[in-house]
Parts: sequence; structure tokens; C-alpha cells
Amino acid sequence: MKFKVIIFGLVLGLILIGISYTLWPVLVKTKQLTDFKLTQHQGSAFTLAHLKGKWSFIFFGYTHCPDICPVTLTLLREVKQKLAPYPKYLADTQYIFISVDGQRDTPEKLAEYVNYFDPQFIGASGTEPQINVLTRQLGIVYIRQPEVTTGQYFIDHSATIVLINPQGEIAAQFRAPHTVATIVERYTKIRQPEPVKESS
Amino acid sequence: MYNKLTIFFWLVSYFCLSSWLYAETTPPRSGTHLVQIEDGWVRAVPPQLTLTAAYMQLKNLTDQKLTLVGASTLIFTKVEMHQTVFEDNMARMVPVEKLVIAPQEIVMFKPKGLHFMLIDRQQPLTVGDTVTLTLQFEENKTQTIKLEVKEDNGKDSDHSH
Ligand SMILES: [Cu+2]
Repeated sequence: MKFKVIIFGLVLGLILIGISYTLWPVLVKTKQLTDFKLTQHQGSAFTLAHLKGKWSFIFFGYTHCPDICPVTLTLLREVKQKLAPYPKYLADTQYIFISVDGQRDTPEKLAEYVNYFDPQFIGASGTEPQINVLTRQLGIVYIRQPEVTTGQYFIDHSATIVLINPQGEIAAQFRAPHTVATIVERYTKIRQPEPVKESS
Repeated sequence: MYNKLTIFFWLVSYFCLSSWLYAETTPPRSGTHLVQIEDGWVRAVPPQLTLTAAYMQLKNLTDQKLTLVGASTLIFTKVEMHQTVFEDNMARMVPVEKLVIAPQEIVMFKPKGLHFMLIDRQQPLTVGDTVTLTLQFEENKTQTIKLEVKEDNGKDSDHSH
């Protein structure tokens, strides 16, 4: 009897190892993004090509968001300031605010909004289908709420900050609530050994 | 003479006693000191944005519970109380209809938490301006407070735990 239990345990263990072995690469492998087309605050197109060659912190929100969006953009500005001792990181890191409210957030409005936080921040948005091409790849969700007054509505949205590497792959996801220290620490740790491109 | 003095005495006593009784029996009057506000501020936002949020530390100075039901200001058409919540990593704002504040209790309105939403700005606001907000409590009690428009320095959001 005892023997059977041991055999059963061993077989079960082998099966579990097998499953995790096959799933491991899928779970750990950074996810390569496919192309999307948005409009950036200066009016030109904003596509996957704009993420390549740089590290990008992306946060989704909308300008009529009174609490969490300004808080997060202020935090990203601080992250940028905290990276000052690493000029190398500072130079190839970009910060992108993507509005899930293309209806109200025209490029001009986005320009004023992102500039208010940092003149180097990039704002981008588009139509709902255009936005969804990107949000679905990143697991970002947003739900528009009924109007409070005419034309005035709020949008529930994911508070995740996504980090994209220069290859256009998801490198990290920072879940809310965020702190400047944790983001800087994780980011510099990710950057420390420059990711070696696998030749597989 | 004696009569006049007596009348005077009674009159004085009457006034003293009545004002004392009045003070003892009347509930705290509106417009005065129901609550104490500390670190009150309105978030400065880009000029074209017509809404923002207000934050403060609010202490109930009375020895009875106060129920905050809303606020109003001449600068915005609408003021709502909201609570920012994180559910499944989604940031949501849940309207707060009533807020019961126990005697001497301190309630924090702060970024990423409870806040006053100021909707539909009616006139320009810049850093350093003052927003006069009238807090409305149950039983028609009100108190008017002044809040300064300030930039978010990020400090509030970092030691929020
Ligand atoms: Cu709100």
C-alpha cells in the first residue's frame, strides 16, 4: 500500500514538472507587441515603431481624471528625476500617457496636459478601436461611466504602469498603488544587466 | 432706591442666565466652528481643464457626530464627494453620499483616497488662488472654508500608508 502511494506521488510529481516545464517559457517570455496606430500630442502618428529603441513607461488614463491620473503623472515625473544619477537611463527612457478618452482628449488638449507635468512626456490617443488594439495587448481595461453633467463623465481604468523594452516587448507591469522608490528600484534592476538578446 | 437696585440685579441676572442657558442648549451654530480644517488644498490643473479635486484634513470639533452630505462653491457648478478605490488594479471613483464623522474624529481627504470633486469650473484658477467651499452637514449645518490652489508636490501620495 505504502509503495503504491510513493509511486503515485512520484508520477504526479513528474507530471507537474512536465507541465511547468512546457509552460515556463510561455509564462516568463516577454510579450512582443504587435503594431498599433495612435495620434500623439503633436499631431503625428504614434505606433510601435515609436517604442522601439527606447524604454517606455506607459500609463493609461484621461485628462478629465481628477485624482489618480495627476497623481500618477506626478509620480512618473519624480521617477524621471530620480533617474538623474543614471544619465544613460535618463536618455533612453520615455514616458507616455495614453488617453482612453479620444473623444474629449484631442491632440491639443493632450499636449497641454502632458506638458503641464513634463515637457518631455508624450501624450497619445485615438479612436476607441485604435486604443483597444493596444490596451488588449497590455491587459488594460477601461469602462466609461454615465454622465454626471452634460459632457462630463468619468472613466474607470486600469492603474497599471507598463514598461516596454527597446524591442517592443512588455518588460514589467507595475500595479497600483505605486511608489516612486519601487518603480525606480525595479527599473534599475531590470536595466542593470542589459538584457542579452537571445539568438533562439 | 432699593427697588431700582433690585430691578437692576434681576435684569443682570436674567441676561446672564439666559445667555448661559442659550449657549448650553443651542446646538453649534452654522458658519462657525463645527470642523477644523488643516492642509486644505485644491489641485492645480492645466488651464483648459474644467475639473479638479480638493483635499483636506477635517476634524469634528463638536461633541456630537456630524454628517457631511456635500459641499458647494461659486467657482464650480458641482461638487461631489468621491472615494478612489482600487479593485483588481482598476482605479475607480465611488460617490460618497454621506460621511458620518464621530465627535473629535479626523477624516483625511487625500490623493488616491477620499476627495471632493470640483466639476465645471466657472472662472480661471491659478496657483495661489483661494477657493471658498461651503461644507454642508445634516440638520442644515454649514461651514465655509478656504482652500488654496496648489501644485501637487507628490508628498501626499508617498506617505499614504
Ligand atoms: Cu473623484
